[in-house]
Amino acid sequence: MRHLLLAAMAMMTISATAEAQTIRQTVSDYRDAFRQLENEDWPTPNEIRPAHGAPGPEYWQQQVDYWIDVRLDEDAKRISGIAEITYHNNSPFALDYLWFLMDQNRFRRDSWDNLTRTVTSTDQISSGAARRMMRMQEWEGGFDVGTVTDSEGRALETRLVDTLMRIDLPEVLQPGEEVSFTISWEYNLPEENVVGARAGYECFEEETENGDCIYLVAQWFPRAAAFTDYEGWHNLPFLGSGEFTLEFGNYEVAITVPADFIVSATGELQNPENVLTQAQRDRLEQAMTSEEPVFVVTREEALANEREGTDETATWQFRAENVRDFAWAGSRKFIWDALGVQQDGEGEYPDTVLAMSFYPNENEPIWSAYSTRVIEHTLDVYSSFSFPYPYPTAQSVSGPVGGMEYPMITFNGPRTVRDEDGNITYSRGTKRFLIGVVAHEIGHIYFPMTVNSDERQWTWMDEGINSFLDFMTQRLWEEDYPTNEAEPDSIIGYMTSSNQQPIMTQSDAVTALGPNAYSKPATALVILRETILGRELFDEAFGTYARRWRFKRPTPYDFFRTMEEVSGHDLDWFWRGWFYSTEHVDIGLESIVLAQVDTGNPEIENALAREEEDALPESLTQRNNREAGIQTYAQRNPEVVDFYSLNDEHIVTNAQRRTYERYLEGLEDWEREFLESGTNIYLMTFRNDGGVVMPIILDLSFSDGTTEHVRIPAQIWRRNANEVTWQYATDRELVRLEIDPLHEIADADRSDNVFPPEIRRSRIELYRSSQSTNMMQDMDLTVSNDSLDTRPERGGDDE
Amino acid sequence: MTGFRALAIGLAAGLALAAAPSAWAHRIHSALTEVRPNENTGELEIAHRVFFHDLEVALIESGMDDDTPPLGEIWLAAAETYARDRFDIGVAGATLQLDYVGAEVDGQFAWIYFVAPMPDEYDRVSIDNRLLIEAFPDQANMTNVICGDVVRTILQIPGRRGTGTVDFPDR
Ligand SMILES: [Zn+2]
Repeated sequence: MRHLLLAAMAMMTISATAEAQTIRQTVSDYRDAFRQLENEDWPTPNEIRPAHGAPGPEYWQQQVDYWIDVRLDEDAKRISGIAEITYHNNSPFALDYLWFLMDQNRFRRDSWDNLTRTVTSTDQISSGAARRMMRMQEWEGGFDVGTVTDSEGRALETRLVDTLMRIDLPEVLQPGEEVSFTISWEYNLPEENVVGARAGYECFEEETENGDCIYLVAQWFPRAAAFTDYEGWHNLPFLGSGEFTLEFGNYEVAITVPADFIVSATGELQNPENVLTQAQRDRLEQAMTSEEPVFVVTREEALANEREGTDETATWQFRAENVRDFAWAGSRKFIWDALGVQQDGEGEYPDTVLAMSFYPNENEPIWSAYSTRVIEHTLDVYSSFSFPYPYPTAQSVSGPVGGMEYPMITFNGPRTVRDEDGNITYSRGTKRFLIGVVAHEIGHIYFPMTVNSDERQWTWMDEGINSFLDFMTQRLWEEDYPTNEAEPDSIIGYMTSSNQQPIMTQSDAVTALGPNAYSKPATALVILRETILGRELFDEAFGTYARRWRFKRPTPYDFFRTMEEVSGHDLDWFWRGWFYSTEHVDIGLESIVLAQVDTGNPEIENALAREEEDALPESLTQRNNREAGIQTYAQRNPEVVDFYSLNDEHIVTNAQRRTYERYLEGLEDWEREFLESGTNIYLMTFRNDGGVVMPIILDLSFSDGTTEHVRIPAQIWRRNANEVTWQYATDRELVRLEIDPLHEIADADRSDNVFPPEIRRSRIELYRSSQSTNMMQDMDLTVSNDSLDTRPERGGDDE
Repeated sequence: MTGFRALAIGLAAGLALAAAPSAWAHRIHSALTEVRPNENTGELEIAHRVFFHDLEVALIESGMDDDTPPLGEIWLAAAETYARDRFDIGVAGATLQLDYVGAEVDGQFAWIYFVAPMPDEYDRVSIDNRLLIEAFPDQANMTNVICGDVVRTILQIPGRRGTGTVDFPDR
């Protein structure tokens, strides 16, 4: 090691930020931020789920096929069905029994969901809760199971555990075998607006409207519970919050409804000649190649249909392949529009997808204007992130459910309203809600309907990923579209809150599902894409995850591992911070030190040292002595003054000069060059106040007007996750520094992000100052010159 | 238990039997409120962040005309009344009287602002945050009470409503 350079630095602290206010939370002394998650939370890799995140050679999943005949009794609001179910045991295990999801049982009075409902307040009850309570007293919800028989017609033993039903098999179902059996059942449809069921009926009762109803039918038949490699039979009950964990299969469903109904369902209609007019069939055909949505049932036809009424029934037959669920909707109120969306199906999927919307006239005009168009846009954006839309239809049905997804069909709530004068209006908010919710629910057909994640365990895997993509979809709807749910700054409030849970928490246990399972994971993915990996690597890794796991069942670990393997980034630190912890992001500037190189030249260095010494205040004792007129001994006896008395220790000696010459001779050329360059080295010390390690992103401004944007990877925190000092060499003079200038890492406290410190004003202060400058202008108000009380008057032209 | 106490339970929100939307698979109804002392102004700032669309639904249900232009005078007044009636804050045992600052829309969010003179004592803060709960039974309200570098959160969610209190013992 050479004797060179940074031996003794001339140091000058140019800043220590003043008492930065930081947000403290679960901050521990030692943070092993980069410890691997393997063997900690992540399961040991195996031949089914290997360490690289793709399905392994031994991957398996069950298949359950259904043939169902279902009937709606409109007067009784009752569904009755009979299903022949074929269960394919693709697992390597022999099965004695099968479990089925009986989700309607959640609406029994004695259901675990109903019995474990807690009151919202001890002195007040909401009208909605009161209404639900009354309904639950008088209404009989839940499945009435008729018969369960094997293919020979023999009754099978069953056992009910809340929302689960076990069917005991007469013979053990060996690996590779299949078994068929028949179930019949009935149940009363819930009134969605009263009990809240993600499905149900709604009747229009207002004077101007027909008393007809819309029926949204879901969780309506015994669905096979998942049997998986990582959990065996999934037996979490349905408590209303955690959604569904399901198996893929093929469906043939015959739906019998009043003959004047229009039916929308998972899959493709098999008998249009029986249920549609020739004109309607022609319009559907026309829609396949149309540039804009085509009305299959027009407004006029729907209104006429409502008035006529019928006692006849009709049976609509649908077929759906490789879907994890089946839902449907029916009403005589439906207007129906359709548009063929062209895509490259890559030989596996349709090249034309029929995007369709169904809605009552009450919700016009916003539905015909936007719903089908949003489906088209959503398919385009989601496919660009994942794979071509894998099904022949994509449908949006207007009804009483705020928003809910099923394969090929979604239920969406936005509606127009009627003001006192009977005028139809919809607000700006409703328009945005419609665009947002249709994009979101249609997006769910990719996640989790195709990439079949386990919703009951991990809501974030479908809602977080889907919120990320619907954010992208809304961002691409139009410039400056008002969506900021997944912008990093929007999640700070949740991340700094004191009683959160990690994203990796079971769905029903999460207290604030919105920020926990939707916004925070969506924001994390935005940051991963825009900041950590960059778009190219992120998109490749994310697309690989989607393609690897389409029509399969990924776990979080398969997602984490795929993202790492494809992007070439070990991201355990990122998952740990964002998905496993309740820490937040807060990087602060502790200090900046300007270090200048010790030239070794005594002429320069000694003078600098003297300057520094002179800059220090004089000894107070000496000053007071002098001011008191007290003389020193040397003043009184000048004969004691010598060379040393007259020259301080900073005088350059010949010995120093000779040493310097020898030093110069010993240097390499580059060393001498660096020595003479006068380079400034800024030593910047950053604190990690929030806990989550993140890249340090800096904007540096210099006195010559130049700027630089520096992005330091998160690995800077690998040895010390609490504080790091980083050096930056430049021949320019630094005048300003800002951490996270683009607001991309969700930094919770920006008051210590800037050098020199700037006064930060609160949101309310900023709002006030903006109001004082332009509020009146914004509100089209003027003040007349001669008014004494400066009372605003409406002025100018009417618009 | 020695006796049965009859409890008069009030019915919230005037029994407007408007559809009470259910929990749904799109984003859950949630709102964030920040209570933050501002040393520059000597005020306690209260900023409510709600989804703009949720607020609009609630304002209309509570009687505002549905064609009221957002951020106009009528709308701003309706937002004030709405938030005032549904948010109580007590500091050191005393209920604070809040001054309305205004409201703005930022992307999907609407912000509603109030301030109060900074109380002398700020060691115990009680919050009852009832924003939007009459409109959405699943509404989850999170209030971050900030004191220096400490954040304490009061969560009002289904099954956990009513006043919540946080303490800052060292202050
Ligand atoms: Zn969703």
